[in-house]
Amino acid sequence: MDIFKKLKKRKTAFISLIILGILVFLALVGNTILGIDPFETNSKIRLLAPGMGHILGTDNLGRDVLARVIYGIRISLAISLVSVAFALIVGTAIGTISGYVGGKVDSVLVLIIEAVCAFPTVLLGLLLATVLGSGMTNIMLAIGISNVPYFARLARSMAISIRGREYIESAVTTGLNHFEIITRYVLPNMSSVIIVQTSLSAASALITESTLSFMGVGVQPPAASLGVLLRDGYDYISKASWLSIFPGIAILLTVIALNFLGDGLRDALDVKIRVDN
Amino acid sequence: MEKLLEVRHLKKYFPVKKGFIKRTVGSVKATDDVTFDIYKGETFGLVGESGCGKTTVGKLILQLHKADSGEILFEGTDLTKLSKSELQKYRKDIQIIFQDPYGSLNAKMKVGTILAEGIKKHKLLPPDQIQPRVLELLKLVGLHDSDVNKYPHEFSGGQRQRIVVARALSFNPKLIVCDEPVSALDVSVQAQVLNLLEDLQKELGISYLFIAHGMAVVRHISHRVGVMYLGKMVEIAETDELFEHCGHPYTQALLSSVPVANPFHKKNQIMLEGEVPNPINPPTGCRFHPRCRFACDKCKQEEPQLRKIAQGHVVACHYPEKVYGN
Amino acid sequence: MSEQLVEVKDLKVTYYQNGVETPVVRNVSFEIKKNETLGLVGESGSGKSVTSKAIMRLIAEPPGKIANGEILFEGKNLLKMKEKQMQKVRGKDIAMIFQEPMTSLNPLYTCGSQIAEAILLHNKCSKQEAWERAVEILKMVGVPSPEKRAQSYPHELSGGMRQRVMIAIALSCNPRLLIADEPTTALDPTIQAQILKLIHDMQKEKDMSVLLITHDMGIVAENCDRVAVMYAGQILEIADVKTIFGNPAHPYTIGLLKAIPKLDEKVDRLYNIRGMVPRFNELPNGCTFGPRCDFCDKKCEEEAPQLVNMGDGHLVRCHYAGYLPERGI
Repeated sequence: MDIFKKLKKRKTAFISLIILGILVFLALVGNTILGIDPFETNSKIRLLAPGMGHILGTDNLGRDVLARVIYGIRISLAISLVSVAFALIVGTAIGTISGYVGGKVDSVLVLIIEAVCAFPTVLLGLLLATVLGSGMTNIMLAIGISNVPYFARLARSMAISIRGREYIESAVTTGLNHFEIITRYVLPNMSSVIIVQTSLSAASALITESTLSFMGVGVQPPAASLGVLLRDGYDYISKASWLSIFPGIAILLTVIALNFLGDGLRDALDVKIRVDN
Repeated sequence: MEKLLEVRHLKKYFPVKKGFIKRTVGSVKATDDVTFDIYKGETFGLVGESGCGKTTVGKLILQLHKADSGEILFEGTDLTKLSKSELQKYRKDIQIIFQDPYGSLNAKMKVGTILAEGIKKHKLLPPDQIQPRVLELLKLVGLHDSDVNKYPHEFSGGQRQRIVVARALSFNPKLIVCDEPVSALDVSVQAQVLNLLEDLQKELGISYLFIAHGMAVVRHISHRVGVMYLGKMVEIAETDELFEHCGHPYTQALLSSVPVANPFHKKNQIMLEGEVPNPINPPTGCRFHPRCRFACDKCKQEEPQLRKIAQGHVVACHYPEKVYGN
Repeated sequence: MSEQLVEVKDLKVTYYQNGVETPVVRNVSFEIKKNETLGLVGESGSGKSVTSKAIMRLIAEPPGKIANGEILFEGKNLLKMKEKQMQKVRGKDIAMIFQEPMTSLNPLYTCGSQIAEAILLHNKCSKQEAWERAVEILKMVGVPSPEKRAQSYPHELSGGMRQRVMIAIALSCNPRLLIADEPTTALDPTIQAQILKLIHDMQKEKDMSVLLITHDMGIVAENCDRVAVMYAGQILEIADVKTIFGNPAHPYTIGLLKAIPKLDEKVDRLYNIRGMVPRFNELPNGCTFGPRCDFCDKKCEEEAPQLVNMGDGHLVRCHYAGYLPERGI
């Protein structure tokens, strides 16, 4: 694939991609392969320091930290990817329609987008999580909704610039209807910008998720995201620092990898518009 | 000859909006009462400086803009009166070639897809004949079979313009609006595209509305020429007649301002004073009068209408005899 | 009229493209005489703008590099000068105007202050004097109500007026050489005629030389004394304007003249120069124009031609210069 070849030339981005690949692989099958169970408690081996047997040590209930971190990565990645996918679809649709149609529709949608944008992501997530109640699905929805405006804004500005291009006029003279023009002309021409935004948004969604879970409104036990692990470890920070260090490293690694990948994609796809978020 | 397109009293004002509540504070009089015909198999050149409304005329004919008033009769049917679905039938008959071959092709589509799109949309051919037709189109404009799977960015400017031409041809159109089709191209490539357009016309009998500001190009390719100034058609004549015996002072000045690639030829240049006035507030009377060396009181007050001064030659000037025949 | 103002000798400019040093201007030698207008014509990618930038030493390094050659301005080699000395030459001795005046004017300052700034940079005078001189120059370049216009910002002016302001800035210090890079390409024909006449009048009045870069053969014919035709980074033919149009000797020049539609005569079919301008990283062996030339033979494919002197300063880079009629052109 063309993008892949271009990405290969950029070292940091390519390494990030490999790291993400490994993380996803671990998240999916890591625990099965290693044969460790993130939920198995054992009061005899509480708060074991990292070493042989339990490479990353054990927690206050004697659960294997490596298994829990791998499990946490799975939950965190799942939440951030699903919520970003939601934001991508809904936001791009709203933004594209807003920018392509213009006029009053645009004015109203812009007002809504800007209003949602005025809330900090975490605050909005907190608000939605409180209203919807905690739990995985709701936290996905909360993070997804709070990310919608970023995609909507971007898609809108792209749609407006694409709408003025000559190939749209030639599509009109071809006799294509609006749906065909949007799907064949407008969306493909904004795809690279949206891809970059997706990667960057996934990173920020992961942070939002961790923050919300850390504050206790996110994923509920026994399910555990990286944020939950961080919070659980917080109580033992002086006695057993590995409980928070390893989930922290996992968050850091994933977020950095996603950001570098986003930057690499931006260069590789030659995206000229600055993506903020 | 048979008329293909009749444009009658075409008018389009673009509102100028200002301020937060987007109040309309005036309007750009882009085309104001423009009338002309295009015959079957002919090239009608439309010239004028930027802001004269020539591009707007092209877009109105293509129904990319809705006219405020006036008629556009295509083979007798008024396009301005058609509903959206009725209009779709005529879309394939009128096609467009833009100036910028970089901006007028969808970068995300392969050449083959671009060329097949119109054929599929209008069901011009059964599915199994589409691919052969696409290859035939590529050959017609001088590209190779292997180009069908390439993306537009893999081509040079001249080749892209050939793709644009092939795209327009895929509809078997009766009229192609060419909006500055060669002004973005290098001289040697420009000749290739002009020759291609001429060959296709001879072969397929297509009519062209050729919009350009390059007078030499227009002279070369057009059978008849219309000159526009500030939204008004000021003169229409057969090409040779217009270039040798023009009847409007603006046409005369425009022609004399074009540099001639002949250092042995000394010409009398008529230097126009000032610039094209703002089309939001065009001058009263004859719109050209502030820059016209023959302007008198009548020109300031009374707007001249197009009138015939010779066979097939109309001029919107109160005193065409001052220029015509001199 | 015979003395040389500028001599460019064996200029070579390279650009780094994907890590490869690619020559974009090669073996370019020409001179500009005092008070003359030299036209530099060529299609896009011919190296004509790069050549003019090299004279101003405006080639960005990297990716560009002036790899070889001398540029003598009144006998001094500009390429050997320190950047500080060069800054004095720019604007004062050599001035330049560009195709798009909007992007070369600073949108945040009034036109008058931009001209005054240029004057202050190269002359010792008070701000008041500089401003007065700026207004004077605006008047000279035909800007109506110059006192008012001097207070205007560039975006408030039309394209033609902006180009007049650019010319005013260029002329503010009485340069010896004016480099005009496609000065009228963005303008309408009637405005183009005004600007070209202005440049011509100013040249007469100020005794300067003009290097006029354009792709329009009409502008060349009407405005230049001598013409250099560039193609793929080389000069293919150089001669006085009447020779170029009346007795061209290079197949490219001949083809170019036959390929342009004429205003004063109608030809049935334009001459087709086949193919397209080659990219710099895939230049053909032998003659660079070979693959597009109707007279190309084995010698042309193998051996790169040198400039041949046909007399009276008419130089042609073709193996068959002067023999083309026998080859049926």
